[in-house]
Amino acid sequence: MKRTSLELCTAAALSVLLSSCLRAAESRARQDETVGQRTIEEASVNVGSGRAVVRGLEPGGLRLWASAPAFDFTIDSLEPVRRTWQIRIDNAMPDSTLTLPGGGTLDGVWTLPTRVEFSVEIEANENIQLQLGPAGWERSEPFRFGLLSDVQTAIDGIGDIIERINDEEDLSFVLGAGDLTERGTERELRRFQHELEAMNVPYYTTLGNHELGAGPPPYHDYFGRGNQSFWFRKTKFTLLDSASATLDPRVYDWLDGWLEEARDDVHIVAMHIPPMDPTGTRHGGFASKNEAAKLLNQLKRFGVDLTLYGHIHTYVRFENAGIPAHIAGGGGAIPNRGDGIGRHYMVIDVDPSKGVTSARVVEVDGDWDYW
Amino acid sequence: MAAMAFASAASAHEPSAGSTMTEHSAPSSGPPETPDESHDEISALGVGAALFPGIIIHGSGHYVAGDEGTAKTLVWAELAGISLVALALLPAPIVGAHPYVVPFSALSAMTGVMLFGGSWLFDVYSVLVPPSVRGVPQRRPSRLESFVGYRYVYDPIFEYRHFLAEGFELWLGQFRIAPRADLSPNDANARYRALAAWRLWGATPDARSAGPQDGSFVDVNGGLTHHRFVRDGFDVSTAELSLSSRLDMRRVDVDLRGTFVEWGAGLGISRYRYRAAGAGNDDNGMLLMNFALGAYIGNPARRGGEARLYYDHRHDDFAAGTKLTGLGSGALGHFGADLRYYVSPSWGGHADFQVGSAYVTSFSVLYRPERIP
Repeated sequence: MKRTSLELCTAAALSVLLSSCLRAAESRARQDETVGQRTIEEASVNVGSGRAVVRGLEPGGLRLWASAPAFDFTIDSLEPVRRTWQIRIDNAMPDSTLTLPGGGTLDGVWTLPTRVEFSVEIEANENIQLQLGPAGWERSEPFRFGLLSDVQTAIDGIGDIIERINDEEDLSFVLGAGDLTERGTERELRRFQHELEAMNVPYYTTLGNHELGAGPPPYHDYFGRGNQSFWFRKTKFTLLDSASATLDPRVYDWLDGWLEEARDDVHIVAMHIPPMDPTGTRHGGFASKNEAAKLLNQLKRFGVDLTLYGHIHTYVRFENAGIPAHIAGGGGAIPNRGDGIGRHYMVIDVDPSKGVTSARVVEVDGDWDYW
Repeated sequence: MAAMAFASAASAHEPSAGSTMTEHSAPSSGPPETPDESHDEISALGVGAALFPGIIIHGSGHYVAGDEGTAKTLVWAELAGISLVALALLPAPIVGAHPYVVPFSALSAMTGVMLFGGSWLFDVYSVLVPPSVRGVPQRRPSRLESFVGYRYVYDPIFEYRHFLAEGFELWLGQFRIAPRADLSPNDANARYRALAAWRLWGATPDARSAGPQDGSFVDVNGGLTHHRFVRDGFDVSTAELSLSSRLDMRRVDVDLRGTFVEWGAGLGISRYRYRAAGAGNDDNGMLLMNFALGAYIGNPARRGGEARLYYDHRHDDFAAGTKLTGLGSGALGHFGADLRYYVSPSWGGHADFQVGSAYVTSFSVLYRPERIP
């Protein structure tokens, strides 16, 4: 009997071990589920859909890093005293306000272009639900956003790019398609966030394979979920963690829901490693081309309007499964030579009633229009 | 890739290409085939040295066992392997992942890994297995070999699991065809593959050497594959052209007889047809590369076969590319191990295990109607 149990345990352990090799992104997908939740003896915080990272929590003090333009969060006081809470939110959209229970709004104090601080009174043992968001984020109006990826070792030069981005008119936010750092260490992630303080708009990103070089990746503690979806002006944005050249099976379950929600709306999907490298002999796409085709068919079936990628350090415009696609890995990491393009980012215009109306590549040392 | 297709498929899932040289096309037979019975005793010290420091300095096992010549051959192969890997890494900081450079870097890296891994494995194998116990290659390939078997695929992304696999290989002079099908009745997933090959150099069913048995060959291969994913909404058709080869190591050093390496490279082009409305087709190229390190077992003409460890750069088959949790996921193809063994002149079996994006396990029954001398 003991021997049978031992054999069963061994078989189970081997099965788990073997399975884990095929689910390289599983632990990160599990981490996604815990983003935005933190409990201490005196209070508990829960950010809806993990759209912000809890960077600090202490009695009367909360620090969040926003991963989306708007999000709900609750603070549950677990102590029998009333407190004035200082809530600091980094990476917030300029002009964001805090909506209080009952519908009132609270203006904060802006200490950086994307850092806002609020003071909120919370009664003893009160559970309070708050919402952060910029004015009009739910309206169906045209807007413009950017895309910047693949900075890696070029972090020292990111200031130039941020200056150019700050010169762009009417930019609401910048998306990131991963490879912010070279190895994804805490020091590198902190440095990247420090550099972002100079940017006038927030930066919502997923991670790339270069965020996976530091043991258990600390990425989620700094930038939040690798897989997430949010709305901005009736447009759906979905960021996927393809840093391991695959999506975890549970992400496909989430994706089904996100795709269904936006079936009739503009939907933009970004990830780091493109499912299918347009130069197939390079094999810069998913580990399995069959998985890539399955994903692309799924995106097309639900009417995704635009796919954005990083990973390959050049600019390529193409179509995958009939969906317009851009690879823009121009953050400064070792560039592909001979392609006529250096560091670059993208500026994309969206009209929720029409779709993606333009996509422009901006070279940091000169730019031109595509599309 | 077809190389892989042929190398891994040809000897893994499809009829073997092992054979003797032809009189008209075979090169010189290499070092004299003079089994050295003094090597029949296993040197425990040699085996230990092959493991350590042999894992660092390849050839240590032979050196300690008193065979300096083979030791030198192996250490040179190791150095060549390291050099090729270093050469492969050189362009990256200069030109990045340039599409015209990456395939050559990948080929250089793969060949380097083959030399590096082979020089160690063959050191261990040759000090561990006495010459009298080592196998020999088939004198010539069977004119017809067929197989039927079961394939289990575990891919967390797809629901298919069970496949019936069947196919055959038929030789017509130096030309051969090898169709196969993998059918999953429960999931409406089916992969059909047809390979055609021309033997440029090496034995064929009609031409064998009177000299020492040698399984070396060079083939040029063409392949067509159609893979239907009905449940997942797409299918893919691939055309490919490649070169595949096998070198019996006795040609390099007589003390390494009974072992071989395989190497192949080529290009493929795939068309993905999506079922989603308006999706159309995507055409995508593919770099085909493969290598294998193997050893003959017994005499495959009567009772015996061969075992291989292999790498296949394919990213489009069931096993596809390897997923890693660290920085470099996606670029590598898959790895495999297989064993072909004939228990009688006509009947044999084949077991194959692959690891990439999926675990693929296959068991097949082999049948060849013709007796091989």
